[in-house]
Amino acid sequence: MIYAILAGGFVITAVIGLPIGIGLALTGLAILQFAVGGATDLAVNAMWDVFNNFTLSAVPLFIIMGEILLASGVSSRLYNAMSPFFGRIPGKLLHTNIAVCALFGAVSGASTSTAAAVGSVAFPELLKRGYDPKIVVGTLAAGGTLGLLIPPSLSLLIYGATMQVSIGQLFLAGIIPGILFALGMMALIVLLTLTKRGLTPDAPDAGPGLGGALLGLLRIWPIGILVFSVLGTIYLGIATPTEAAGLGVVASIGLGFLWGDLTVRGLLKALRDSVEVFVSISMVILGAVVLAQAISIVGLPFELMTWIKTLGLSPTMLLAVVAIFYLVLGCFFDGISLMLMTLPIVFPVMTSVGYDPVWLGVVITVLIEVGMLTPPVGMNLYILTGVSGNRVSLIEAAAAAAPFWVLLLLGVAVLAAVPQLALMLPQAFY
Amino acid sequence: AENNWKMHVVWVPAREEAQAFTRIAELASENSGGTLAIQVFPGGALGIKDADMLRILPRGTVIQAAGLYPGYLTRDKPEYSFTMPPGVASEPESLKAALPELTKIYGATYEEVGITLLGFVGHPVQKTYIMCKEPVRTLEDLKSKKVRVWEQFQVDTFAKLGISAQIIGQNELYVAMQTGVVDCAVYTVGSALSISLNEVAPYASYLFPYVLHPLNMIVSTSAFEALPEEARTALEEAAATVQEETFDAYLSGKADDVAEEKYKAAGGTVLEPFSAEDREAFTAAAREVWKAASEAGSETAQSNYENLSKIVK
Amino acid sequence: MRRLLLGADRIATVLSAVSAALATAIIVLIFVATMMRYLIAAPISFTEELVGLLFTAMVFAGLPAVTMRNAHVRVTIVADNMPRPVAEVLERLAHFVTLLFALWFGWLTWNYFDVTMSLDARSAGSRLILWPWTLVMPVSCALAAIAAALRTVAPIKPHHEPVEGLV
Ligand code: NA
Ligand code: NA
Repeated sequence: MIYAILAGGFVITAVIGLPIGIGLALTGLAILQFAVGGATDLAVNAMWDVFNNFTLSAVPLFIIMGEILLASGVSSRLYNAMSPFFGRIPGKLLHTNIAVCALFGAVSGASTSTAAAVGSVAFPELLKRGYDPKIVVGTLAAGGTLGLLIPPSLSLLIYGATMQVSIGQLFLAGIIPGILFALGMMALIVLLTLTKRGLTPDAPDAGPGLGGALLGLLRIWPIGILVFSVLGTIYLGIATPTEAAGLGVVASIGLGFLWGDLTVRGLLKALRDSVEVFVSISMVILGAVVLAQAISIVGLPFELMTWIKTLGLSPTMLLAVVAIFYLVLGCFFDGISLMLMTLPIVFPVMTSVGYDPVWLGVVITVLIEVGMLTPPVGMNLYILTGVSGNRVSLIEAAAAAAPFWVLLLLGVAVLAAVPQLALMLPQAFY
Repeated sequence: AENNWKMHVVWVPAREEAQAFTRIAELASENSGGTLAIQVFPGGALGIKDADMLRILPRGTVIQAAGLYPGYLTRDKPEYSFTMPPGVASEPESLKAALPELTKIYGATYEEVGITLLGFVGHPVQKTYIMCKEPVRTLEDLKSKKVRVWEQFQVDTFAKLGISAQIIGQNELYVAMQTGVVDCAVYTVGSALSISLNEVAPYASYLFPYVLHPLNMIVSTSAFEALPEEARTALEEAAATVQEETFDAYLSGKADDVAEEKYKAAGGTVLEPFSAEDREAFTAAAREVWKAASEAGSETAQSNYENLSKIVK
Repeated sequence: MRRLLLGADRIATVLSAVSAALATAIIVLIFVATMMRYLIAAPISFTEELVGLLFTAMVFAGLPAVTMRNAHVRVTIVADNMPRPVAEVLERLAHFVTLLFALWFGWLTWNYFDVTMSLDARSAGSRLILWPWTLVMPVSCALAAIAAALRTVAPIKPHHEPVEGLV
């Protein structure tokens, strides 16, 4: 019955072009109504609890910040200053998507905030410069996942707190894989842009030479204030990531008026536009939450994993099955709720066959990142589809991100073969 | 079994709270003569929140049982914020002494919505510490620190003592402590270990006993009444057994000693407790806040206060 | 019909502005609270809970406008490959299902409001009154239902236009 409702819901959503959030929500409501005995009120409970969570508010704030930077011409100056450095590398400014996401990921704990913050600045700028919108969205969605792996990380925090694993060790364990994934993504960008023409603008950027380029960087020093108000305040303990997002908005307004070309009219428009974008993203979040509640209340993930446990698989097979388990469920759940639902059973099963708890935390985080890039429920895809103003559809975004989720999956295999990549740093420090 | 029940528990399997409720489920299933099977979903695996329990449990079709900390119900039952607030007791025994009165208080709430309270589960530990980056064991030293607490009642209590406190969620605490958003946290050593707080707050000093709402074993009244006699008895007996076991463990304080040892082994330092004067000053401040908050509350809040404040020492 | 749509669009504009104002309130509140805590060590205790409530209100205030302006995230791969008349029918069907959702969810959020009101529920930490915030949800769903109803019968516009001002 549940599977029939799921299949029916998805088919109808796709065929008639229903808003995705509404399609997911109706599917969830139908499950609650017909398979859980009329428990549709759970949908509102679940949505209320998620929407009233302080951490989620960072996402719209970062989108607003990006929109203001765009309206004031500040982001344009930033990209003008950066582009000479990337002119000769295949992939050009696409690499900045990964690099800035990695940098941002080093202060933000969430994948969605990272995608929102970097995406809302980078997408319009790169589009203006003639980059293919799909590859821009693909790289941003992929880069956003670095926010979860590079510490601080919300998923590693929750993993550590619920499974009683050292959070310090988990954070250290995420660093090397995080950097390797960033490098791997950049290599993939080179590969993609070399094999397919037209992804980046053809005309080679007339380089001002290294001296000129460095001078250009100096000229954009006021952006340092913005970087400090977002990244610096978190490092110095002045602000939590959500607060840093608020400070970032205020700083971007100040910067826009004093240094950029921001007008009151432009500010109001930026605010209205970005809120509208975020509302459309929120409707998808609402649908995802309702569907997740419906599937979890019937105990589906928990029972599925309990069943896997009884199969008596070898450790390698078990890892493969768990990976598939997360890939499939990752289609329907956002990362954090998936972790909370499955860890109570995945953790003891995996550690009992000898997997290291710290290593497992990193692997599960990577698997959850893959889920952020797979439709129909893929948070990073939604955020970037929204940020692109529906110019890149969900399907196109998913297709563009596909090479990157293959990379992440390969990464899991590499981590399985060489666990030291994750465990080296924690073992050195503890 | 004839009756397959689902039980919601927010704690993850590694926590003793989850183990206690799982034990109730197992004992009841075993002794029901095959008429009842309770499957426990720990770690909130069903995706529901404790705060919504008064709205979800009663119908008995979604889930039939739950282990619950009543302090999570404060949205729907505002008076629960100061029914058994933190810091007002100076003796852990107060909690056991208050059980009959608490049974009445919770029972009234549950009866209204269709939930039956089968018994209590004691907290695994009985001590609350101030855990800091630097050694701190006086209220005077705390005045220059930023302190993390878990609820508004504690913010008010610390404010009375001239100490600035703020509420920070469990999930943000580690990073907040690491980056210096706060310098100290009110916490139990056992729970601190589970979120690796020892890594960022290596100094702990005892301040007050962990006397809070006891955990409730609750079931949907309609589902419970639909059970055969045998299953109902088995369930009631299981709840009573675990109540006795867990309260004995709580009062013995052994778990606290074990937690302290683990904390030390993990590089933490357990300082001398706060002085007797400081502890008395803290309790006095908490009791003042308790009185004021209750008097400003509803009639139920006032009568709860009058009855409980006589019992809680 | 045209005037009706124009009127509805104007209301949508007002609601968008309300939504943006709520976002501004979030920014101001977070900024002030961070400053207060850092500069004068006086944190505002209700910040997190109020931000959560403002956030929910912001999303729901914006919902009717997003529905009216067809700015939802959607997959239109099938409709895009259909002859125009079929695509039009599919689109109207999508708006009609959106209408059904708005009614269903509106009913559920109305019940949620009703329970919140009767329990006199307050936010867990700072005891903020909750019912006005929960009332935003059914009201917004009702307006979104009207928007979806208008869309179901209104002339079809190509919906692949990017949201204005974003690119
Ligand atoms: Na991060
Ligand atoms: Na997904």
